[in-house]
Amino acid sequence: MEDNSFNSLIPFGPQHPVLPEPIQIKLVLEDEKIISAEPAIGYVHRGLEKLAEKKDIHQSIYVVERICGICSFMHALCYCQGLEELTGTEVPPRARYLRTIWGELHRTHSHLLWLGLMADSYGFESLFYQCWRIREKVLDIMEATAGSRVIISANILGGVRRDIGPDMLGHIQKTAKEIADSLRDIEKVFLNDYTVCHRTQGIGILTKEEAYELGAVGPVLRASGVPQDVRSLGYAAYGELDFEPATETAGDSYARTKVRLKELRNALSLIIQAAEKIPEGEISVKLARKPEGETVSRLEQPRGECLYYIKANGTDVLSRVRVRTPTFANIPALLKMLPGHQLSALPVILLSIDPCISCTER
Amino acid sequence: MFEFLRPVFRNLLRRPSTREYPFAVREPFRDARGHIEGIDREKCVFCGICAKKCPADAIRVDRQERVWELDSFKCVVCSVCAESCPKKCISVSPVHRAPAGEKSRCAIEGAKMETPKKPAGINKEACVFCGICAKACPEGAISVDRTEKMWSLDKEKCAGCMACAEKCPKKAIIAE
Amino acid sequence: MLKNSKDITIDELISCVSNLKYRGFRFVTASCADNRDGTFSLYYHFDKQLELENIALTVSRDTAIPCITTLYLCAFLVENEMKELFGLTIENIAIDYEGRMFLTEDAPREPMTYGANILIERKEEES
Repeated sequence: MEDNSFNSLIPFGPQHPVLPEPIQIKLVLEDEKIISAEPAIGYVHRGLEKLAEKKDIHQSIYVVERICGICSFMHALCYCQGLEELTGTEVPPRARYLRTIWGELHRTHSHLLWLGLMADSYGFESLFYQCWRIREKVLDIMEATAGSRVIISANILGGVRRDIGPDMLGHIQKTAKEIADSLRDIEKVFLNDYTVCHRTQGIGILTKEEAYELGAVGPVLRASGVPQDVRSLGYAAYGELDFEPATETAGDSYARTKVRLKELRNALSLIIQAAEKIPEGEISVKLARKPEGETVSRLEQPRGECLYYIKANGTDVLSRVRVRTPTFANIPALLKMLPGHQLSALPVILLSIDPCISCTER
Repeated sequence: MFEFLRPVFRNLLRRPSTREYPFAVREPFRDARGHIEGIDREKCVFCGICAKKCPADAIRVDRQERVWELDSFKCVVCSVCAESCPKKCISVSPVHRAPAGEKSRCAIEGAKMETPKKPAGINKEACVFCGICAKACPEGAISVDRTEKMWSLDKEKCAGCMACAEKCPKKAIIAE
Repeated sequence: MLKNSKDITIDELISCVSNLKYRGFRFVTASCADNRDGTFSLYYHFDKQLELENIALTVSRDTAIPCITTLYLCAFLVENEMKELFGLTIENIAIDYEGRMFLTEDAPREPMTYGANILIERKEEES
């Protein structure tokens, strides 16, 4: 039989309907099958790490928040925790609980956003709107409690800026329960719908060994069966709350969806627990001294483990802030998943790592 | 198999969850950070602390000319200025700004007053070295040692907001 | 100094990293900081069950740093980043962007070094 197949080189992106942010993937295709992929990034590099070296430690909170819109709170939290460690500042317990509540609200809204985008990646527009409708409730809570919808600027060094009153805590618990109820509908679609399963099951498989060796983080790593979640370290109030990392073993796009759905439920239960257990008291303290030395601060963002390396020299301006964001660590895993799949599966695989390109490039 | 049918039928029977913006506008949340409205020109002492704290460099304060200026298109509405203001004279509105066709700034000229004051020293007779002024200072420019009966001012740090003189229970701080 | 950090020399890097790989560590990332005296501190962060292990190196701009992508392929992004933003010499990276990962042709060279002298400038008013 004559071999009619030929290789072609296709640039996917930087602008593409499924991509919320610009990234280019250079694909080598054999007919419709992906042979190899190489990422080209750098379209949204803003030099925020450099800017954080120019501003003082308090102003830098607002700089690092703007690394990523969706996990902005977590960026600020990671930065603040690093500096609180360097200055030996003990954060009051109420502030730690408030941070947990806002952190989990952020996880909820991020995962709902992702579920919507995932639905969009296989063309299920109405499911996309269902997810975003639920997300709107979370954004309303954030605006009512912290003042803004997404970049909430609630963290300061040594605590949080605003308190949440008892009425609002009750309202948050009530809304968390409502969201958990309305999740039931969309959960069924993501997990049982015939077409959805066809587009996700067996697509973009990453084995446990591969995921571990390629340094994958967050839901991508957990969907491959590694129960690693930085929240287990017990930062903020996680050590006092009851939760378990959500894991799956299949390692495909379906498993990653499932892990995030489980995490959504976890997050809602954490919000309810934290709102119940929250102690009375101060919400912020002043920094004990000027920061000096080096530290690594880690926490679990919706997309996975985020790492800040902070170097301070005893003044108000830091000498280095280095940010390793989750998507940066997940790109090698993405490249491993792609070969062997049809070109039409690419949007689903790409979305399944929950790419955040502005995070990656800073 | 047809899992999405249920939400579809339910949505048919429900009212829409969107509003008919711009005809129906939601009430803003009480503590929302919509935009920085401006300053109270009677109260502002043009100390410039807001401009120093602003992470976006959006505020410019001229102490001599008594002008406070905000570049609303640089402003990230973090409201750090309003929180750090020793006079609490910056107002934040919960209403978001409407989209604009061109860039604009918000410049406010202060009420005419005598030349701006700065703290210079203390009246040693009256001062009890309680340290209230040091706590009140937003810039941390004053240090008070109660046992040594020492009061010192870091003129570099001092922004001249006179918060110290206002808080002093003995009115012992002398202005320039 | 970081916690759980081990100072090594440049010749020990590969053996040290392969030792960590053998012990089942996961590569997290590498960080670089300008010491402002012509040298750079380099940290390689590894993780096993949330236990962080760091390798610390001090290098100068011209020191040829061996590439660890042969051991951990996922290090290619961060090695490119350090090469580009700090001007370090890292050779034979698995996927080498040759200084065009983040930066464009007209961007400042090695912007993260102290000597790059990048300033915040106020834009002139457009009237």
